[in-house]
This record gives sequence, C-alpha cells and structure tokens, in this order.
Amino acid sequence: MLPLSYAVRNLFRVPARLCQLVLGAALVIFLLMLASALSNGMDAVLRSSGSEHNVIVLGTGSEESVERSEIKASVPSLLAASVPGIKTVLGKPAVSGEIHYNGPLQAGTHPASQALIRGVTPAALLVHPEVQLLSGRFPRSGEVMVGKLAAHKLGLTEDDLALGKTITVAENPMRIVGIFHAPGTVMEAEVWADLSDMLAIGQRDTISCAVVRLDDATFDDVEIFTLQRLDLELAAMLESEYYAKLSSFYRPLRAMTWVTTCLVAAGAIFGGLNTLYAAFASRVREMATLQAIGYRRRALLLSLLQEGMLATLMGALVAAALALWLADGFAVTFSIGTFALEITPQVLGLGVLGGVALALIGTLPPAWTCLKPLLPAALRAS
Amino acid sequence: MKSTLRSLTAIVALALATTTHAADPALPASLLAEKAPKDAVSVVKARENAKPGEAVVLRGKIGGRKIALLPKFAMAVLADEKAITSCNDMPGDSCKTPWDYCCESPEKLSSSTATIQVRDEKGKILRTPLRGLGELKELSLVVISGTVDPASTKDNLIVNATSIFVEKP
Repeated sequence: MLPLSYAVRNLFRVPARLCQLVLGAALVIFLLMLASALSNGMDAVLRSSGSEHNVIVLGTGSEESVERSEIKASVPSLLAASVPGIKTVLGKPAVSGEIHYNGPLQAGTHPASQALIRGVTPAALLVHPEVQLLSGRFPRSGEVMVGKLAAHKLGLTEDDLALGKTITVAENPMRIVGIFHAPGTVMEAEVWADLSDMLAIGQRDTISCAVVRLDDATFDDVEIFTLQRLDLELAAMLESEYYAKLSSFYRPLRAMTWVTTCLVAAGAIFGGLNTLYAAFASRVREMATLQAIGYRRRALLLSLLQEGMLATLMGALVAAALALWLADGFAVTFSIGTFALEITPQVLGLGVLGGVALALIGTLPPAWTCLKPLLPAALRAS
Repeated sequence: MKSTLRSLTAIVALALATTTHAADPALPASLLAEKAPKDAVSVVKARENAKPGEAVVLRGKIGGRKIALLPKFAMAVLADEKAITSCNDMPGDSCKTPWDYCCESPEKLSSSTATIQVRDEKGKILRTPLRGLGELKELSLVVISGTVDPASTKDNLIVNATSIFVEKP
C-alpha cells in the first residue's frame, strides 16, 4: 500500500490543476445541495400547510385549485348546523368561510405585484391554529394583516409592509393592522383581509371554500353532507390531501432542477475527466516504476483514487461552506407561497455522497488508462 | 386434542366473521324489493310537495352526477326519468359517462335530481355501496320507497330509502 501522504503530495504538485478539480467539484456539489434543499423545502411547506384535522369544502370541479372554486356564502353555517362533531372553541364552531384571491397589491410607490390575499373571518384562527399574531390585531373592514414572508413574496422590504402602513388591493386602500406568522406553511406569505371586503373587491356573492376543523366528526361525515346537498354542488377534501396534490403539481419544476444539476454535473465530470486523463497520462512511467519496485496495480489504483477523492471532498467542503453561507435561510418564492431553504445535515450528507460518486466516476477511467499498459512498455513511456 | 383444535377454529372463525361484519355492514335484506311499489311519482313531482318525515315513492334513473353510485356509502343520485335526458338517449352522442347528464344545464339538473340514502337503525348512513343490489348500476330504472330526510329542503330532496325495486332492462 502506498502511504496517504504520497497521494497528498501528488495532489499539491500542480496547484492550478488542484484548483480546477476542487472548484469543478464544488460547483457540482453546491448545485446538488441547492436542488435537494429546494425540493425538500417545497415539499415540506406544502406538506405542513395542510392539516389532517381540516377538511376543505369547495365547489365540484375545482378540487385542483381553491382559487377557482365558488360555493355559496351560506355553506359554512350549513356545515356547522348539519355536521355533528365539528370542533368548537368557546361555543363557536371551527368552520371558516374563505376567499382565496390572487390579485394586484401595491405598497407605497412600488409597482403592483400579484399577491395571495385570503378573505377571512375570525373563525379562520380556529381552523388554522398555526397562524399566530406577532404584533397588532386581527383585521376589520378596510384593514389587513400580513404574513411575515409576504414582503419577500411581493419583492418588498419588511418596512413596506410594517404596521400602520397602507397598501392598495385592487385599487382599494387598506391599512396594515397585524403581522402574523405561520411557520413552515404557505400562509406565512399571504395577506389576510376581511371576508366582506374581499366579497366587495372580487364583486362576488360566493366564497372560495369552507374549512372545517374536525373533532369527533370524521372526513366521511363532511363528505356525506357534500354528497347529500346536490343543490350546493360541493366536494370535500382533506386539507393535507389538497396540498399533497398541489405538491405533485410542482413535481415537473423539481424535476427540472434535478435535470439542470445533472447537466452541470455531466459537464463538470467531463472537464474533470479531461484534466485527470492529462494528469495521469504523464505519470504512466512513474506508476510503472512503482510497480517495478514491488507495488501492485491495486495499491496504485487506490492511491490514484485517494487523490481524486481528496480533491472532490475538498470541493464538497467548499460547497458546504458556500451553501451554509449563501443558501441557508434564503427565501424562495413560488406561485402559492414562499419558503426558506434549509441546509440540513441530510443535504450536507448528500453533498458528501455526491463528492464520493464524482471522485469514483472522474478518477477510475483515467486511472485505468494509466495502469493498463504492460510493465516493459510503461517503463519506456515518455 | 381434536376438540380443542375444533373449538379454537370456531372461535377464530367467529372473531373473523364479527370483524368483517363490523367493517363492512351489509345492506338490509329487506332493502331489495321484488315488486315495484304502487303510486310512484317522478323526482320533479316529488320535489314539489315533499315534506321532511313524509313517506314517498319515487321513480327515476340512477344518474345526474358523474359518480351517481357512491363507492363508500349506501347513497345514490336519482334523476327524473322524463324531465332530463341522459347522453345515451341523445342521437349521435358518444359520451363515455352518459349517466352524468352532462348535456343538461346545471340548473335543470339540480331541480330534477334527488339524493337516495340508506340509514341503519341508529340513523347512520350505511358504509356499503348500493352498486350491485339487484344488479343496480348507473342508468338503472328504479322505484324507491322511503321517507323524506329532515335535512331536505325545497331545493334539495333527500330520501331515506327503505326499499329499492330495480327494473330489469
């Protein structure tokens, strides 16, 4: 066996080549970590946005998107009266009639941007206990409360959506009276307004959905209600199921991220192969000499692999440092919300595994070419 | 030894039968009528005068929604036989789900359909599908006897069925 110091010394013999290998590997591993964090983050936010205790009642045919759904405004009260076993808080049934509106929102002199505005009543807090007011109070008519990540979603600063500021929703000025958070859910990037205001702004007499929080009742009980009331044309879905479906809707987007990463990785592997082929080709005689003095091919292959592995693991270290410094906590916006990237130990572990794979794929073919020639021919190699 | 084994087998069989029964409550044997009850009225006619708690005899076709026979519950949607036309009765129509009456307007559909459901003795809707009861399927012509459910309104007729007669095609 050749000592590890031999591989280390060889690695640092040409610093420019080492830099090229380390940076190439770092780029690929950094992208791998980003793709993994993005995919995990999007999945997590959609998974935790839906509760298994909540049932969304929406219009038939609109099960894919609550924004397109329209149901009668009387549905929440009918549900509360007809389905026994709905959760009650201080005697009030936890049934929230909501409007999910995607429309223009303007803050100050900034240009208007598309915002997710949820028209709600105070009952919304009974069905979404994740929502907690950080400051201010629940909005009344002409007022809104904004999620902690709403500013980022809208491309604004937190100051633009501070308490007391006025925003314009579809040309209607509204004062910010509350700031809330709902950690890890899409609601954190939303703006919540009074339900009646949103009925007026949307010029509609229907709401988007009713969210029911179950206690003794089961999903079947709510579903039976929707099936009995043919006149209301309702469909029921577990909230968790709704967001799981949304998650599958974003699968192509996540696949694109992985495809991009794979393409960049392929480019980097070919670049690395090229560099190592050139580097190892000039060492054919050196390897032959080592064989002549008694080292076996297997030991030499291992030493070459150690070199490749050390270079890519240094790349992994650089990538991990970059990911923790630049990407951890970075807020990513997608059409229905915002989430923060998290560089978890799993993501870092995936980066290290990627580094090992990169080293094996990048080192083995050039090493094979270097060690393949017969000893007499290799000793005469220039 | 033999008798112990036999007893054990009997206990296991009994336990299995009880579990199966609890998970899949069967439809009452009396639900399937052998003869069509007399004085049946159409769905539209029934909707005009139905009052919660009253006895009613309805005649209609299973249909009016894409899922007209519910897979999880003893519930079905009954469409008026004459007031609305299913897609298969429209010349040249090749609809794959003719029982959904998709060619009718939502308003007409809503005013010409009723919900049929079967409750157990405790008043709970049975968690057993009606499909297959006397070869019941979509577009089957049926005569239902039952009572108008207390949740019925003038816009929505719900009937708690006590007997279902399925006409042979």
